[in-house]
Amino acid sequence: MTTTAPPATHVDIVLSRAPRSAFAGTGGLLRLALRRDRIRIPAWSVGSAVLLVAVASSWDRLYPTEADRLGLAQSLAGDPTLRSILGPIFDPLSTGGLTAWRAGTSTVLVLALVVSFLVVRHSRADEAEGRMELVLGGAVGRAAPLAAAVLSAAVLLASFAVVAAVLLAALGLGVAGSVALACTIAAAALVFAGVASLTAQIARTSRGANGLAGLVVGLAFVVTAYGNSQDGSPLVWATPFGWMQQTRAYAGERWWLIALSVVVAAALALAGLHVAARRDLGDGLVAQRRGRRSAPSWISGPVSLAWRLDRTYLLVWLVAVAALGALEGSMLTTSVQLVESNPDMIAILEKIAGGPADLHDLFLVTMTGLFGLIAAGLGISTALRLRAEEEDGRAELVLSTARSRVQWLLGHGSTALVGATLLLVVGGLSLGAVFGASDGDVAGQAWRAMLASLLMAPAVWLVVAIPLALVGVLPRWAAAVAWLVLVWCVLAGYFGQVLGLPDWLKQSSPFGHVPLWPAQPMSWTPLVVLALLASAVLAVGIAGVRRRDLPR
Amino acid sequence: MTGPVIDVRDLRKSFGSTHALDGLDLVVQPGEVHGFLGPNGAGKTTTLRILMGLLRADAGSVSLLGGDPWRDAVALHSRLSYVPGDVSLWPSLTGGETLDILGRMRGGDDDARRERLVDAFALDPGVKVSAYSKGNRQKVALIAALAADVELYVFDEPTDGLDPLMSEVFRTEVAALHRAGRTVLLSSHVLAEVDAVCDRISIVRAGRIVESGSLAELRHLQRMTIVAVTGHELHGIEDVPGLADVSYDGTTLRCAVEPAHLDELLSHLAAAGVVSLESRPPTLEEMFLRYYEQADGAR
Ligand SMILES: Nc1ncnc2c1ncn2[C@@H]1O[C@H](COP(=O)(O)OP(=O)(O)OP(=O)(O)O)[C@@H](O)[C@H]1O
Ligand SMILES: [Mg+2]
Repeated sequence: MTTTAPPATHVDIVLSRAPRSAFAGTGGLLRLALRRDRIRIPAWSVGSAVLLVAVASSWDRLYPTEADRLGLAQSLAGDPTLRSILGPIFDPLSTGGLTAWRAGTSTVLVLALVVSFLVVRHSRADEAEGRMELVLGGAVGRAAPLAAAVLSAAVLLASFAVVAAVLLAALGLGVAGSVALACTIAAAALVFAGVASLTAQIARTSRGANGLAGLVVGLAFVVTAYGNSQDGSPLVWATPFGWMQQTRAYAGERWWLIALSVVVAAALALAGLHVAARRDLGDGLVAQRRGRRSAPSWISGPVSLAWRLDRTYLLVWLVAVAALGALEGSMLTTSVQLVESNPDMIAILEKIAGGPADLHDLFLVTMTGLFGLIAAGLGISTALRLRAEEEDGRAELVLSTARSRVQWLLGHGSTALVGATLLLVVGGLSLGAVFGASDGDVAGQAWRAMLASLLMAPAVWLVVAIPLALVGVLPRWAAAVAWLVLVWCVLAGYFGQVLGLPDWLKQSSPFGHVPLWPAQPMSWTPLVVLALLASAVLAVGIAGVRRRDLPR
Repeated sequence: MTGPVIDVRDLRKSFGSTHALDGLDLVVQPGEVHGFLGPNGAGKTTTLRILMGLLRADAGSVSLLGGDPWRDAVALHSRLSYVPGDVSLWPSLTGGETLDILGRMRGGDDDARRERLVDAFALDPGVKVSAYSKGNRQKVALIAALAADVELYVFDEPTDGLDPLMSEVFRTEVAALHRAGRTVLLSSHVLAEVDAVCDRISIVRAGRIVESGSLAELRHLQRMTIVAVTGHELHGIEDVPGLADVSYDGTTLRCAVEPAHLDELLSHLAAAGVVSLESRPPTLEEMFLRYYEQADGAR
């Protein structure tokens, strides 16, 4: 390992070159940020810690004896998909070891996104909306807003670490391991707060900065997953996800990896502050391009305008899901090969599917299930652009022209619904094509995987129709409720088993009703019902937007 | 079109416990440039949004171009254009793209007319909106509205953020619309602008119209300032009704007088032998301050 921190002298130089006054007022801004986020920060830090602890407390119930755990370990060791995504399992016999393996990576993923968006929210977002001009007009240094933003992310992660460590230790999992797990998760997420402090300098809009930061998080995740799928790959040492996994909490901790994350995070944040202290307000590193003087003739209403505005965003998601699909497709073959020789694993998988099934198909439906959740995320974030249009006053401009309210709703509404569906198609095609390349039937496998993936569509439509309906009837609640619904779907789908949720709760997610074809027989009824429900929910939105005050 | 372009009667609108509009009446005749004035929070923007069919009135009757602005919104909007109070545009589009798209959504602009306006306002249409200054964003919205050849133009604080040169261009354009017989409703805090382009105004405060008429009429309703020097001492001046701010030092009288009582004051002055007399109509500022301050008193 030679890629550690830059020498201390570099840090000194950065600090000494930045004018001292660049940080003036950081304390006041930090207090302001903590006040603005007095709900958000405790909710995410305590919420993530509690989820982690809930996973930890479930093992004793699910696998009480050593024999149970040995069996589990044996079957898990044979599952390369799990190993790739979650990292190696270092100690399957201890509750702590199982917890670190099962929940560590997903907690880093969630917290990394949360703190990235938090940093952008308090730096670039404020700047792009002109709030920062107000602040910098006062006695506040140029780098102070970003410094306060990064510090508020650090506060969030530190409180997560404290709560998680205390609760894990209170469960009796061992103090050293508990502290190591909590700190290594927080430190890995902190690296991405550092990344966001840079992307907030590169992009001019908060959307751009969030997108770039999210892309880095996704890339790091994929690189680590790929590294884990190969034997002895150095890639497992390349990203904060790997550093967290290799910390080996509860299994002979490597403390220095936590320090590595913290140092890298600090270096990234200093780089961001360095740029922030020197550039002009409102400026970015991406040069401002000139554009065309007239609009292409196909843009003539809210729907075509929404497609023009959303196309880059949709394209980025489609490319990302194509990459993810290719990764999954390439793992499918190795997964099946390894499991075929493991009768225990086959038995477990068949129990999940409720009957004997082809192994390829079993893996296929797990992977397309992931596409469904990603598509819902894309759809929700796109549908919520309607709220931004309304709050910023652009809806007022559009509705003062000869275009109806329904057309306005169907602008980003259509990009959301169609974009999410396209994501299912692209993800499925890419998965199937890459898998098919290994067994010689590219077209056939691509078609089959696409169909399997498309079965998610009615459930995705229903979830995406919820923010659209809320824009019509309860606009101020649209964002909060829509994201809660998605979080709920993820919890019910992926953690329902581990958390021991009752069946009816697991079934409350629309995704719980999607037929698992081709692993199970096809059934049309749930799809038709979901599609009808989605149309009904959308109709509520259309009726609502026609009768309410807008803007409200 | 025979009746008024805008006919609002007893309009009411509340937001929760705030009564934004409390029985507002507003009539705008065809071919009129109508100024809409009032202190902050008086209800101007709320009225305009109801006229645009964005907000739904709680009570009262509203007629716009002979139709119902809520029910017939889409049909009416191809006959009018509107510049909102807070102009916000799509940051990723250029000014030129924005003009094209807004024009098409309204139902098609005259290209030559738009080119002329882009030149007149000195706008560079090849720049992304995110790189425009506030004034340049305002120009885009103004050009988009003025480029349409429609019956009615509605502006909510249109020169907010424009430099004096560009405000002058805007006034010229409104004057041209006036000559062409178009109707304009203009909400503004810039009195000089109102004075320059409007032939009638309505003053709103606390959700009601407190005065409506031509500027000349309004001036006549207001006290004028008098400074008079008399040869003899004045007597009985306190009996003249309608005087305010009176100061008299034995030779020089300063006071403000309501137009209705000017005659009486003058006969008193004549009886005392006027040596010199100055009279001054109220400035715009004085006129409006009086109405606005009443608003404060009423709160
Ligand atoms: N969406 C809303 N929710 C709550 N209150 C509102 C809303 N819109 C307007 N109001 C209130 O209604 C009143 C009238 O506001 P309006 O915007 O019409 O005033 P205005 O005359 O345009 O003022 P200004 O000159 O500042 O633009 C104000 O008290 C305002 O706070
Ligand atoms: Mg206003």
